[in-house]
Amino acid sequence: MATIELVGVSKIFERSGGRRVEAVKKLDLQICNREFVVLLGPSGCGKTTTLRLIAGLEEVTTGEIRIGGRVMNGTPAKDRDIAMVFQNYALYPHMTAYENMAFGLRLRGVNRSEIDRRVRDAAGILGITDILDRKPGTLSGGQCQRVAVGRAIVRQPKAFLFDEPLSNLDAKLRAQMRTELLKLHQRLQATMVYVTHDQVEAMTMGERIAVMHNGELQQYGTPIEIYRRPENVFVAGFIGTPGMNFLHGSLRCEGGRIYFQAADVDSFRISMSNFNGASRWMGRDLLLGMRAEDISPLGIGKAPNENTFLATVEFVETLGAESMVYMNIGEVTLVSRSREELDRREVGHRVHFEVNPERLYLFDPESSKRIYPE
Amino acid sequence: MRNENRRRSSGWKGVGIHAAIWMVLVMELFPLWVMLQTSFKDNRLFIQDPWSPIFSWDLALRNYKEALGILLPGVVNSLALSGVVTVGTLFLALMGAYFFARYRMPLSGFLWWVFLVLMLLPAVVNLVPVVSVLGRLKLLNSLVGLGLVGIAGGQVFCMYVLRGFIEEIPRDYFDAAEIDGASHWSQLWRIVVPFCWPVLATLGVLVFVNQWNDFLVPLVALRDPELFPVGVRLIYLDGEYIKRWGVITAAFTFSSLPLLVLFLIASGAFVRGFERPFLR
Repeated sequence: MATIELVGVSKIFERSGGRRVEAVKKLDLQICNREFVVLLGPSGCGKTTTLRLIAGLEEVTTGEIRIGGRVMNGTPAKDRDIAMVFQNYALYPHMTAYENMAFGLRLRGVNRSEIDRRVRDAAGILGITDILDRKPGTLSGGQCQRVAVGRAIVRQPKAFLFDEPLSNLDAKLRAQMRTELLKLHQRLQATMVYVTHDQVEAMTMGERIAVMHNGELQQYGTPIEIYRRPENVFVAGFIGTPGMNFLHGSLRCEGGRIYFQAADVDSFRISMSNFNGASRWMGRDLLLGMRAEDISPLGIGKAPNENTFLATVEFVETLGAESMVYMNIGEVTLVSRSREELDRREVGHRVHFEVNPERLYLFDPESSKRIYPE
Repeated sequence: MRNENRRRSSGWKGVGIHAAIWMVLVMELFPLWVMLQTSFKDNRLFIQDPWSPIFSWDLALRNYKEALGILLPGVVNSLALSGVVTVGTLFLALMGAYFFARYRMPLSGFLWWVFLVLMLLPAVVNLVPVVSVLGRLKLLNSLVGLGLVGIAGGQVFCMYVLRGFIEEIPRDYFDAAEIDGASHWSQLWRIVVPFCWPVLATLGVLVFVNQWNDFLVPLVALRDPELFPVGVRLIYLDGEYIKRWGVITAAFTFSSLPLLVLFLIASGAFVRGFERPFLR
């Protein structure tokens, strides 16, 4: 097993007509030995290109890639001792599952009995022993997925790379395979890099998540760090379902207390008294962030206070255990997700909502960086 | 009412399509029928009634025996020549197509267009230069020279078709093979060939038939009758004053048999080759 380090890695693609596209921009990333790291981001953010750079399927334009402490720039993919699982599985349709798994070992001249032992061991771990003599065309998506993972396992590589391996599976199978891949990671204790655009996969599987956008690393941290302390507006909006609510406004000081006053909406004024560095930002345009689960309808019998605001209920989605309430404050729509049930008859009415003062975020719209919590 | 009209019009359309298909079939098969039934006759029977089938087994045996005696060395030459040209053409075209499909280098686009322009040139335009080059290489009057001409002549079309197929193979297959340690050679044989098998079979049949039917280049490039392929040998049957129609048509029938067998064997793959491969 090995550490993977990316130091100032950039990748520029030369397109037709002399157009240059910078897919990855000065990326620094350290992946520890035996760590499960997820590269997360929307389509076109450079996560798959990063994975291909680590694999050696693309050459870096600038920067350095080290695997196990060894600089890998210019080293062909086959000599990097990594295995990759592809989105469409990349199983050769003319070979059986066994032959697909044995393919890499045969090319490396491993003897027949050793190949057989490794393939059967991997098949045992993945529960695919009974389909080894079948061709991919006769297998289900889940079985293909297992064979593709098996093909990676038999190589016993230093690191595993996964390129959106679950995106072709249905929701139920995806959840099942997530668990199986995590068990596999625990069992193999291998360094794994996993690319996905699905934040649920990222949050549930990753020990650390690298959030990417426009080829740049936005934040690198544990799932809870990414969720609780998003470093910028993009991370805050991208992580979480539904995404974080944002509201433009500014900080005001009244009677010695600090408030966030929404722009153009007089009725929205929330206490920000925990913000010690507020003086620096006073009166400047800021962006308030609130997660949907940190907003809830004010409970019956509770009096409005400095953490509540009035909003017009637009519609209510009842999910059983919780409800989603979409509300309007001026031109802005906010969403709340809470266990507090709101009667659908409240739609169109102005209702008091309460925010959790411990879970408020402030961002500087100019730099997009988080300024609160510090 | 509208449905009924549509059904009626589609019924007439179906009849029209079937009539057109049958017309083409008759136009294609009629000469073959004439050839086959004439091969069972001598000149007297043929002149008496050229169209009706009169199956005289004695005459047929005599015609086919004589045709076989004249054609057999030519058939052997043609089988060897067409076989070598087919394998050689596909082998080289596959490597060229693999390069053009997967890699870009300076001027590779220009090189590709030069290849395509070659495809537009009629083969007969090249006849004099080809014979001249063969003469300088001391390969005139040799099957090796003829094979080289055949292999070179088939490259452009085969490469053009194969490039399209190889480009359709998802990149992940090549990436996976590269990570597994497959060389280009290995990727070509273990991935590209299995994927392109139907189109290779189709191209193989086309190249084989084309070489089998080649008449002009062997006629000009060969002097020794022992080396003549079947197409050139057929003109030996064409007497100066008397044409023996039974023997001639028996020879034509006999010379068509290897192609017929080839089509029967490769027909499934031949049809699949015109489709796009199913890639999972």
